[in-house]
Amino acid sequence: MKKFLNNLKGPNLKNTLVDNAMYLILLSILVLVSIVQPLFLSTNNLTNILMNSSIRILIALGVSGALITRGTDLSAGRIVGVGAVIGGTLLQRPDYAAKFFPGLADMPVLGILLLAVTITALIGLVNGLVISYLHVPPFIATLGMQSILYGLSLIYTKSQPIGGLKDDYTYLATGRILNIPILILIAIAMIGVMWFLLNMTKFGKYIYAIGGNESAAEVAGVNIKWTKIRVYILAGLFYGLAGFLLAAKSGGATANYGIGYELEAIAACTIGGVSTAGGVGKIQGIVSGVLVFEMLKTSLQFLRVPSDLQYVAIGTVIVIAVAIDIRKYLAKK
Amino acid sequence: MDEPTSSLTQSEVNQLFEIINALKNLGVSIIYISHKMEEILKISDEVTIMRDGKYIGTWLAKELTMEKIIKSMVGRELVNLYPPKTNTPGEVSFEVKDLTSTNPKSFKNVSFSTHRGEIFGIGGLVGAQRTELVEGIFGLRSIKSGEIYLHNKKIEIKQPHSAVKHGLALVTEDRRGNGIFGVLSVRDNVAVASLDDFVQFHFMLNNAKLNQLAETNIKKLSIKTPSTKTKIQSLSGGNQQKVIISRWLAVNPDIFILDEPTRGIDVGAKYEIYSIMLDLANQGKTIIMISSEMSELLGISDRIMVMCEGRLSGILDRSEANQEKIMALATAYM
Repeated sequence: MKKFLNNLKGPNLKNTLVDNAMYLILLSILVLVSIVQPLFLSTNNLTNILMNSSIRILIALGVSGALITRGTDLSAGRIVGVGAVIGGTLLQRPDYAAKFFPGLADMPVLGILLLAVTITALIGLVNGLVISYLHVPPFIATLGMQSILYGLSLIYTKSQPIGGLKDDYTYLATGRILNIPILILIAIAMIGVMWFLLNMTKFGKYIYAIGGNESAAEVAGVNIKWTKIRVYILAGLFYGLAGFLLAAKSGGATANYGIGYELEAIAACTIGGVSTAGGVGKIQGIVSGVLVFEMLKTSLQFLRVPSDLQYVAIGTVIVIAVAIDIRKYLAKK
Repeated sequence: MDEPTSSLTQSEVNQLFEIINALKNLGVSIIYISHKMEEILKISDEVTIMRDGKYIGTWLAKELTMEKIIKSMVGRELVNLYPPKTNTPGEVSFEVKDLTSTNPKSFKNVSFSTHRGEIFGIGGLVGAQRTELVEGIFGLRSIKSGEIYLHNKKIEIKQPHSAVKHGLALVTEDRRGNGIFGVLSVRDNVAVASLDDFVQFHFMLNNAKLNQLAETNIKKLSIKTPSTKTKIQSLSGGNQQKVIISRWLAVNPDIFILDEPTRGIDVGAKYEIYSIMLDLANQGKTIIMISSEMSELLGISDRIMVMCEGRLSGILDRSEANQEKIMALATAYM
């Protein structure tokens, strides 16, 4: 902080502003909206923003690996949907009248969570295999997967909404430990896991190397296919967890859960400085990107911006934020 | 124009110079960047010399000599362009037998063997398939037939990953294309091939040791960089090349393949790279160097293999090699 203030005095002011553009944007949204609507700063509202962000962060963490390797994952939202319907259909109250599987015994939450993330990790594996071995560009491979999964989810749920979830399942979203919502704790833990993977493991270094220059990575002996496959498996795990929690949070699930989430996650990552040119992206950037995005959505509601206009505003902010943020990479070239 | 001749043949260079002169006569000003001294003296009216990002001076070209330019570029008197040869080749280390590419237009029936402590030059004209040959050896290109032996044992290299595991290293010709990771730090560029040695508790990297590795190499090869965290793309070509050499030094391979290792690099850094090569040869490593610079081939190699149109046209010993013989072999099948 001291260093930050010192920088403000010197000729580095402009650089400091550009380097921290994302945090300044975050701060100015906060200040602006709380002046107009003091209620924005209420603990309730801030907790709400963080809880919404928690699930979004999981998805952004998953997609970030793909983005850093110069890939993308358009199936993210649909994999979230798969996680949600698996949790929803298998964890209903035993006495619920409209049970999806009427004869189903009371299932353990942890067991179903493991089942859900195993299935979504396998979906990630398929994405990775198609991208690595069939050489289908990630954009197309995951676009195809998006459609396949949507169809399968509709077939599986018979297009019916699922409700009546068990209390110890929904507790994941409503419960608190030491007065901190469990959802937020899970997000923090997963941020830690991803930070560790990216910064402290060979896998992480290879992700950046492949994104930085895939041909150079190949010459340097990096196993590109296997690294990419692991990126998409890891992403599947994150999406599955996100979907499982999303159903718990809303107390139900439909095949439509998570629709469009991949685009919001990609936008949040880009806002947070993950370069679509590959090789660049930090955890703190990804997290602040999601927070800026969620805060923006809530702010617009608080400012009573008509919902149609909100889309226009969000799109504009994404482009402006990235235009400002990208300057720090351009300048240092 | 920034190094416009670095991948041109001599006749194409002459053509370019004719065009430049024609433009000059039309009143067009031309700024021409090059590390090739002969070119600079041949084509320019005025010459500005820079070193390490600093302006050194501007002179009329007719007042300059090769020695003067080198002195200003290096900042000191450079008596020899090549360090004295101190290495002595030993027993056979690496052998290629009858290697043929799957691409009928590329290399065919190439056989050669190299020795411990030897610098083995590969010469030829642009298009002689030298790069394709070493990339074939390294598993970057597919091979139809042929065998590769390392220390008299037959090895299979299907991909670069296994080449690295066997103790081969390749510094590629196209530094930007498949050498550096531009957006990554100097440290990560040095460490990427040797990460296996820095894993502790089976999964976690020792970042302190990685920093140490980068710092040791920066000192040892006198790499000019503000810090280990600097992005490699902001370094000069010579320093980028030294970072890539450090990357392989960290893996400690037995066979170093260097493809045009001094292309686009100033004379000072060239001398340093030759010194590193000799140093490695003295440690018993084998250096295979592709070069299109005749003087470099003659100045640093123990033997020179010459290729023409994908075929091996001859191998010359240092004692018998000269410019004419190399040229004759380089055009043998044309």
